[in-house]
Amino acid sequence: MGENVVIIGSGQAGLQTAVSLRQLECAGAITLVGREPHLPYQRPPLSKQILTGEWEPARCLLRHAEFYAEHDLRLLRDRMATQLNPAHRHVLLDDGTTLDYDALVICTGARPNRLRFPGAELEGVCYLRTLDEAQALAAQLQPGAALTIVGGGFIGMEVAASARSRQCRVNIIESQPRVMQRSVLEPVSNFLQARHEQRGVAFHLQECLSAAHGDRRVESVSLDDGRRIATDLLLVAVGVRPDLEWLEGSGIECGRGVHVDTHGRTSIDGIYAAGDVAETLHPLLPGRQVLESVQNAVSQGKAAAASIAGRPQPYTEVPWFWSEQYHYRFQMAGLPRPDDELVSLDTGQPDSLCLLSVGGERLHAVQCINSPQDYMAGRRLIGLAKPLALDRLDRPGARLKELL
Amino acid sequence: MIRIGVTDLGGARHEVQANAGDRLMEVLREYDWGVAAICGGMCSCATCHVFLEQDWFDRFPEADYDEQDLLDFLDHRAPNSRLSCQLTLEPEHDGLQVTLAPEE
Ligand SMILES: Cc1cc2nc3c(=O)[nH]c(=O)nc-3n(C[C@H](O)[C@H](O)[C@H](O)COP(=O)(O)OP(=O)(O)OC[C@H]3O[C@@H](n4cnc5c(N)ncnc54)[C@H](O)[C@@H]3O)c2cc1C
Ligand code: FES
Repeated sequence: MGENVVIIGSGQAGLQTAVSLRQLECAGAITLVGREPHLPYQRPPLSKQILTGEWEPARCLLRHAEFYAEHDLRLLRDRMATQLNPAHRHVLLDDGTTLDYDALVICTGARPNRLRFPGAELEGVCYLRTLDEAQALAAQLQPGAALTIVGGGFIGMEVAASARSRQCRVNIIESQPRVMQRSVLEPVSNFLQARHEQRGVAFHLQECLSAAHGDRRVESVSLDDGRRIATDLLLVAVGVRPDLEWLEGSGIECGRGVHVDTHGRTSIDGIYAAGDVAETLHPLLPGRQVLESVQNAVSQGKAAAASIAGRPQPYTEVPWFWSEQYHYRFQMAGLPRPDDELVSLDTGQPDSLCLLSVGGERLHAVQCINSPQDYMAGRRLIGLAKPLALDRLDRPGARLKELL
Repeated sequence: MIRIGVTDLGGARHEVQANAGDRLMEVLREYDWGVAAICGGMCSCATCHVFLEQDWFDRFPEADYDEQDLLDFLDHRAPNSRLSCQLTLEPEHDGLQVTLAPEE
């Protein structure tokens, strides 16, 4: 097929869509438009190996520079889509040019929620989403520097671990009663918080930032209860929201994100969406979900490409995610539901964890720390979506894979 | 320079070049043969599965527990299976022969 495909956003989902289109032997023109100056790169190392200094930035690139020409992919960098006009099948870019398309894929990802507080504009107040931001933060993580993090989500927790490995002093301010509350089961929160505390990270739970103080640069922050914390850096990591503003007026159906079905199709014919920007249906999940993970970006990118190539392949993969903090590898698959029963399994290994979230005899989610075997078994079991014989695990040494 | 012979999913053979210190996964991912390597080499996804010819298999350090655990769950697991993100190339691997494993 000689279709002209335009992909807006050249991150994990955008690149995957382009690569999958070529793998599916789509011969048409493919243009990738990205706001950032870099070649497409992966974000997970930004809070990990880039901050610890283990990786050179170039190692984050998803493909080498020649790849794009070799596969006849036109990559427009430093260019932003500002408007979508489905009636004329074109997008407007910030330099005034328009791009016509036969198929359009929206892969604009998400941007960090900004917090408003007195002192928000001071130097040393930062956010972490891009490689540039990661490098700027890494340069400031000098031994002895004090870092305060607002938000004890995955990014806040990972940055805390990386900063500790560089001998920074770390405080985390979190408004909820436990860290990572939105995404993980309570024992995971408790386990990881304790490991951070053992390494000297201080937590201020159920507290909110009220202001940052300093002349030009942040010197301290105050909490709602009036306490002050001296700091050299303030990282705000309070979640992200899908990058949808440029779609205003396009008529495309959006909720929290762009609504898509399991084939990546939006409400408008010829327009698809994938990655953090998409709010998707999924056979294993209730309702629509915005899933913020590399796996989701890859799976949805593949689904969108398959639809465009005329060889539809729905997104059915069990959603999964990982995080790394010190030498703890957290892995989760599926999503817990509110009324689920929580089952804790003996992993047979010290300093590890395996939790199951079970409802109506179905395994909805598995969350593990340093127990990849149980995680893999759980991920399989979720995908099989069959009743679980949980009683078979009621003996010492029982392993989850026995239920497969 | 390390030369690597790669057999893709369709059975076609290719030769690629790598440098000492490269991870095999990073080399393979550059080509469109289906090494997804979703987790970027964190030993979390098993989407970088390859088969090594036996002589070569013995010339890499053994898989650690994490890698073994992931390999155990692959339908296409074979005695010469490895996760290519866990393999660092050294000069003595010049001539390495690998076959890509089918997607799970
Ligand atoms: C620090 C950090 C650590 C993470 N760690 C993990 C992890 O361990 N495991 C995991 O599974 N996930 C992790 N994630 C999440 C994961 O990186 C994202 O889910 C994934 O990158 C989503 O891919 P995407 O393509 O949808 O969005 P992105 O990768 O964000 O790409 C979107 C791109 O679109 C561009 N863009 C936006 N608007 C426009 C516009 N109007 N015009 C042109 N371009 C535009 C953006 O600049 C961006 O480059 C992490 C994320 C961060 C920030
Ligand atoms: S790239 Fe994920 S396990 Fe190798």
